[in-house]
Amino acid sequence: MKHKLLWVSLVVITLSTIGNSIYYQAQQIEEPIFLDHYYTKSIDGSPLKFSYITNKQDTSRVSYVTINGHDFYLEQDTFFYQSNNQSRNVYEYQHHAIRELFITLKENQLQDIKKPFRFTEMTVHFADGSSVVADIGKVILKDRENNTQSEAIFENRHYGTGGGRVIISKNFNKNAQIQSIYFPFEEARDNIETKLKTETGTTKEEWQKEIDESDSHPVFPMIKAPWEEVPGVVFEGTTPYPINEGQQLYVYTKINENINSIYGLEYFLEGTTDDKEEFSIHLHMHEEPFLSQEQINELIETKGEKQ
Amino acid sequence: MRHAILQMFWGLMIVFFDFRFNSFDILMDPLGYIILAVGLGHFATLYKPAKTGQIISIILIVMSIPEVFIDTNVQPFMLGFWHFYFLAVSILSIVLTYFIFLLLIDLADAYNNQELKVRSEKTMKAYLIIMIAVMFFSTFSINFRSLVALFIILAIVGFIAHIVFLVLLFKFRNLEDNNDENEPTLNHENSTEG
Repeated sequence: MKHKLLWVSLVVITLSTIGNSIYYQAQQIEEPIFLDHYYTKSIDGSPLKFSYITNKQDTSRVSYVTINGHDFYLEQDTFFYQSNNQSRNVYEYQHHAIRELFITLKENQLQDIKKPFRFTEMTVHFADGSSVVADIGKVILKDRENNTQSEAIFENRHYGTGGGRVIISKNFNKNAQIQSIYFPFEEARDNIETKLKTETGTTKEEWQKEIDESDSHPVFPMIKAPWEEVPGVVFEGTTPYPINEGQQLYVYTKINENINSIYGLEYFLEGTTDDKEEFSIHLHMHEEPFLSQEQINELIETKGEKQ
Repeated sequence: MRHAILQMFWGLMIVFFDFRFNSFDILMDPLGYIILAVGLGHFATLYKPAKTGQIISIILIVMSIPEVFIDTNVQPFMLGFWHFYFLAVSILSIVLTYFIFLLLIDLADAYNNQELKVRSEKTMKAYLIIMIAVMFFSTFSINFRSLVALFIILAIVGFIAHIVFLVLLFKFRNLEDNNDENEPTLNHENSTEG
């Protein structure tokens, strides 16, 4: 009897091992899946980061990438030394991991390239000679621009960012209207919401005093407050938003909490003063969500199919 | 007798413990299985479980050769052929331990040491239940790595079970000498057995 029970247990263990390996194999992805990145970036020599999903035990290493026919080499990941030379898992999930690669964009290398340099695809070459064409979202690279805003129209006041929110305020010196909102990509329009609000303005001296006297301005808790509690009207660029001379314009902006893509872009509020002078307010949205297991599974299902 | 039991004991010690330098196991498992097979050989003519155990040990002498060079604790996620190869090695080693237990029970019986017989039976039952549970749950480790704490606990439990088994085996070295001392307990132990 005892014999029998032992043999049955060992058969069960063998079957369980077979079952688990089949399940494990079924969960593996054939090639890396790149997240969607929505980047607008001026070329300043800093690297561009791309994240991708791969199998946790993937031993491959990316050696370089080709974008629009130009080869770009990678910044070495110096986080820690790995003897096996494979790419590092930045975040680990059940069967998969997020890894990152950094592309250096040197001005001298990009001199001959026509700008803006746009791309949605990238050929990723691995050290073993294989390569994949990856759908990486949408990227626009521009020359560095000198962004000197005249203080004749407005002066900068608050600037705060965090948790997918950006808050800025500007003190207006002229009567003006915000007329439209410009996004470089439709995906950004769909996922970024903007609220506008005006309050009595502050002079530079009052503003300075306010900074000196308080640790944090009452505006900043709005970074963490539920979006419904953030004051202001939602601005979509359909009806102009008026601002009077001496008023302070508050811009609250947030990105959809459920995004599964990476944002690093600049968008603008565009307006004109009453004396027909055009201006734009630059807003930067940098958001890299921490993906849940469900989001990873979903990306593998949707983006993996396409590739 | 004492000599044979000690051979088995040291053979199993070498198999259970790994001392690795650059993943090379200094206490080579095949060596342990050779000593074990020799130890079991002393009982092979009189006791059937010893004969079976010896055959399994001889198979494991060959099958454990890759483990000298590959540390299965460091690379537990090998797939395909090796995954099943090491599964076969673990199953064989459990079966081997089972036959060693049967031999110990037979020996205790033959030397009329009821206390040791009962103790061996109980230890065997607990050991097999624990090792089978540990192995069963370990088969899920490739898919559920987030349960790493559970797998560490299982590994510790398995290790303790090994130690208990080795301690029991070590006790058998004095079976011949203690034989007379233990005889009076015969009736008492018989009553608890049923």
